[in-house]
Amino acid sequence: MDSYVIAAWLGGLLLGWFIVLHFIILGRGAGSSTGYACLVKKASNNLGKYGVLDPLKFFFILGLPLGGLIHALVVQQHFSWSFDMGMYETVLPDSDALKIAVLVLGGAFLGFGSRMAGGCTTGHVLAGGSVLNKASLVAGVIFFVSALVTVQLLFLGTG
Amino acid sequence: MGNETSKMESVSQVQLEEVKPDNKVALNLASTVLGTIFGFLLVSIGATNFDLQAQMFLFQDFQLPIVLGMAVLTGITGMWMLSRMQAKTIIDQDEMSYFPAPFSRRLVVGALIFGIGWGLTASCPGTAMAMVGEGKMSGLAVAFGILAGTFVFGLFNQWQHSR
Repeated sequence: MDSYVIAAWLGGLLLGWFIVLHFIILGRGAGSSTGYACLVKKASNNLGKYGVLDPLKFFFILGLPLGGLIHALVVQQHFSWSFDMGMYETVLPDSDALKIAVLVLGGAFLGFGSRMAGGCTTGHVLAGGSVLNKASLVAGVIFFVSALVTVQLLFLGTG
Repeated sequence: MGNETSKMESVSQVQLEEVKPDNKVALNLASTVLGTIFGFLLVSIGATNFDLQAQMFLFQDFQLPIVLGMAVLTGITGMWMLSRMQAKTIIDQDEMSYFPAPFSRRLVVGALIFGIGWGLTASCPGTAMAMVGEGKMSGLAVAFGILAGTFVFGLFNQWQHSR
């Protein structure tokens, strides 16, 4: 484990407080996938009839890479581009082109699935879970089980 | 009406009024700052770490499941406290803007598809963007895929509507 990773209990507390803080400040739950949908809706002239999307979510996902960059510079004190994916290197194709293809396909599943389910891990699990939204809790469990089966199959035979 | 109540109500009053154009910039900025904090937190807890993602689903490491569990419990406690303070408008507003669509078959199918993407990429829509900031190039490919998948869903959605 990388040394910058904070203790799980502390991380959980901070993340939980963040979700509540987001509710207090903006009066709504945090969410990530909707930000992508804002962009696609605008670029495609709402071809896909996405319905009402919270425009603030677009600005939210703009902040995400900024937070990652600040962490890299301030805490890890190191920034460089890398395509190394750790344990995933043993199961993803060696060729960069094929690896990119798998990642784009996986990303497409994330995009399609989150729009269809009405949210992603941020919106359903963290924010939806915090307000005990039943549909969110169901979505969260299915997210987890489906990813679990996928990873188990992916790493089958790698020991 | 207690002190907290009136304080909370005035907070949410401000939020409702803040849809005015002159406050739009402030709201956009607040959302960007919150996104920055969230991105920083996602990296801090190890959610952008490929090995921790894999090990969570292989039952080899419990960092991320503990974080998620603790976060939801903390969130539940915090939101419960907000409702105890009768901060009704904040939570009501959440119910309006947060889940227009209740439980449906679409949610189940969508969640299944989402999980496959999570397992394949070790990323979520939130972590993919945080990874980009960290210099993890896989995040770029995943983020591009998310945009493509969102677009394809739009086509599917439109096709279903027009049937």
